[in-house]
Amino acid sequence: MAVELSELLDLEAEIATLRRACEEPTAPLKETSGTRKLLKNIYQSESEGWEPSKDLRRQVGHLESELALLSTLVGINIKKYSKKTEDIPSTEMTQRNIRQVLQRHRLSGSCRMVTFQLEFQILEIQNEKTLSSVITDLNIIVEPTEYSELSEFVSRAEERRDLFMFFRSLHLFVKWCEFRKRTFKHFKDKYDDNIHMPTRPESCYMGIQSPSQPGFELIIIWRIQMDDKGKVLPTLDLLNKFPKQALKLDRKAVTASAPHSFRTLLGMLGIEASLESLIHSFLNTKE
Amino acid sequence: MFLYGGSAKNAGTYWLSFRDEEARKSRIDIYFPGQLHRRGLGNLKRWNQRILYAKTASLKELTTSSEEVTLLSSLKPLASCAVPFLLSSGVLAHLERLETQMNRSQKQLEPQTAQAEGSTLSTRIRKLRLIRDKLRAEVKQRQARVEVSADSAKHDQTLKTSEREDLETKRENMKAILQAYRFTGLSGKLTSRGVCICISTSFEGNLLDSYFVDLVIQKPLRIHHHSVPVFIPLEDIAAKYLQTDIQHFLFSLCEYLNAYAGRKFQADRLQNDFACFLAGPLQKNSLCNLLSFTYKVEPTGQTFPFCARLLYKDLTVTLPTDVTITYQGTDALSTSWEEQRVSHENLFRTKSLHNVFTSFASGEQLEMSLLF
Repeated sequence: MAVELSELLDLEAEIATLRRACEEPTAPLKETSGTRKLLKNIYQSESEGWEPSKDLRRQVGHLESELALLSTLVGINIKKYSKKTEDIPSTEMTQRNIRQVLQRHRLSGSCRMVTFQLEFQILEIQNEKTLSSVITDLNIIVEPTEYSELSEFVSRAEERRDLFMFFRSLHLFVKWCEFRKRTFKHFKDKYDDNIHMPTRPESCYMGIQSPSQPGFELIIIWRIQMDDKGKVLPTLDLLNKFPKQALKLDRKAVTASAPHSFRTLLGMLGIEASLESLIHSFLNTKE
Repeated sequence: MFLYGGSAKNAGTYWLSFRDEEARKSRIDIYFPGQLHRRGLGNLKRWNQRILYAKTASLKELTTSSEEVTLLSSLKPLASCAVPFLLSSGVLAHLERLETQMNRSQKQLEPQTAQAEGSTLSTRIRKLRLIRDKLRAEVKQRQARVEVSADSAKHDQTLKTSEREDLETKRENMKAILQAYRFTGLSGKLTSRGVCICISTSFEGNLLDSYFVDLVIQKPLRIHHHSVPVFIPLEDIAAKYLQTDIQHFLFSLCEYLNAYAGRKFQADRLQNDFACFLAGPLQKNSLCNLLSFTYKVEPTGQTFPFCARLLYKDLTVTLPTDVTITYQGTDALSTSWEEQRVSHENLFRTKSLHNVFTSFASGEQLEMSLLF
C-alpha cells in the first residue's frame, strides 16, 4: 500500500512535470512563451531591465507620432540634427557679468522634393537682465540645384541670416512648384500631341504647337519668384514662335499685344482657366 | 517550467509550484536539494520532491509570510506556474502543518475516502503510467523545439539589450529633432486633444518672442488657446485657411507675427539705442505699423529738424510702404534740406530703422574725422 501510494505520488509528480514541459513549447513562436515570461519576471525584479524598455518603447512611440504630426503640419522633414555649444570666456565680459555662449547647429532634411542642409551659429549673450540670441552665421545648401529661383533666394536668406524666412519661403516655393508641375501635366494629358515640355519637375515652360499650322507655337513661361522679403509669387509669360511671314501679316499687332492680354486674362481667370482658354482657342484656330 | 541557477549560493533554494486543483485546495510542489546536494545541482529530476496540499486561503497566508513577497504576489495570475523562492526557516514545517490540518479536516468530511483509495489505487497507477508514457514521448519530441526556443530566448535577451540601447539613441535623436523644429519657425507638442504649435519670430538674425496656438484636432479644427496679440488678425487668417490648408494657416500666421516682431524690434532699437537723435519718445500704435518721431541727424544738433511718419500698410512686411518726412526747421527750406529730406525718405524705405540711424551716427563720425 505504502509502495503503491508512493508510486502514485511519483507518477503524479512526473506527469505534472511532463505536462508543464509540454505546455512550454506550445507557444514557442509567440513573445510570451512560458520560459520567457518567467525570465522576464526575473529580470524585471532583478535588474529592472525590462519594464523601462516597455516604457521606452512607449516614449519612442509618442515621440514618433509627435514628429510625424509636426512634419505634416509644417511640411518640413528634419532628418538629422546636431548641436555643439562652447562658452566664450572673456575677462572683460566676466567682470560685467555677461556670459557668451556660441552654439553651432547643423540640420538636414527635406521639404517634399527639395533637400536642405543647414549650418548656423547662434551667439547667446546673457547679462543680468536679458538674454539675446543672434544668428551670426548661416549656410544653406539646397538640392536639386536646378531650381534657379531657389538658389538665388538661398543666398539672400544667408545674407539676411533669416532662418525662419528661408523655411517659410521654401515651403511656399515647393508648393507652387508642385502646383506648376500638376498643371502642366494636366494639359499634357489633355492635349497630348500638341503640348511639349521637358519632363524635369523643375521645368518652367510649356509649348503649345498648332496642329493645323505647323511652325506656329506658343510658349508659356511660368516662373516662381522669390523676393527679398521672402514673398513667393508666380509669374507667367506668353511668348510666341511664329514664322516671320506670319508676323508681317499681323497688321493689328495681335502678337505684340498678346503677352499683355495674357496677363490681364490671368488676373481675371486665374492660372488654370487662362491656360485652358488660351490652349483651347489656339488649337481650334482653323485659319 | 522550472528554472534554476544551480549555484552553490542557492543551495538552500526550494522551488515551489502552486496549482489550483480545486477551488479551495491548492497543490504545492516543493523541490529541494536533498542528498543529491553533494553531487551538484541543476538537474531537476535529481531533486527531491514533496507534494503538499493546502487551502488557498492558508497558502496566501504562507506567501505573505515568506521572504520573497514580491514574487509571490503574482501568484494569482500564475496559478499553474512554478514560483521559485527562498523558504525562510520554518516555512516548510509550516506547510506540513497546513497539510496535516487539511488532511484531518478532509478525513472528517469524507471518512470513506481512505478505503476507496486502496481498491482503486492500482487502476489509477495503471492509468497514470499510460498518461506518463504518452507525455514522455511528447516531451522528447518537443525537446528540440524547447532547446531552440530556450536558445532564442537567450539570444533575444542580448538582442533586447542592444535594442534597448538603440531605442534610447532613437529617443534622444527624436527629442533633438523635435527641438530643432523651432529653427523652422514652427515647432509643437502633442496635447491630449490635438497639438500646441509654437511660432518663433526673428528679425535680421535676432531671435525674438515666441507665440503659441493650441489647436484641437477635430472637425472642424479649432483654436483652443493662443498667445497671439489681439491686434494680429488671427481670426481673419483662421477663417481663410484653417479648415482648408493648415500649413498655409500656420505659415501665414508666422508671416504676420514675424513682421510684427520685426517692426517692434526696429522701433525698440531706435528708442533704446538712438534716443539722443529723437525729440521725445517715438509714437507707435500697438501693431507697430504706424510710427512717427521727430529726429535730428547730428547728435550734437540743437534742433530736431525732421519729422517722420512711417506706415506699413502690409502687415506682413518690416519695411514701411509709405514714408513721409517733413522738414520742421525754422530756416527756409533750402535745397540742401530738401535733398536730405528726399534721401531720408529713400533710406527709411529701403533700410531697417536702426540701420538708418546707425548710418546717421557713422556719417556724423565721418564729418568729425574730416574736421579734426
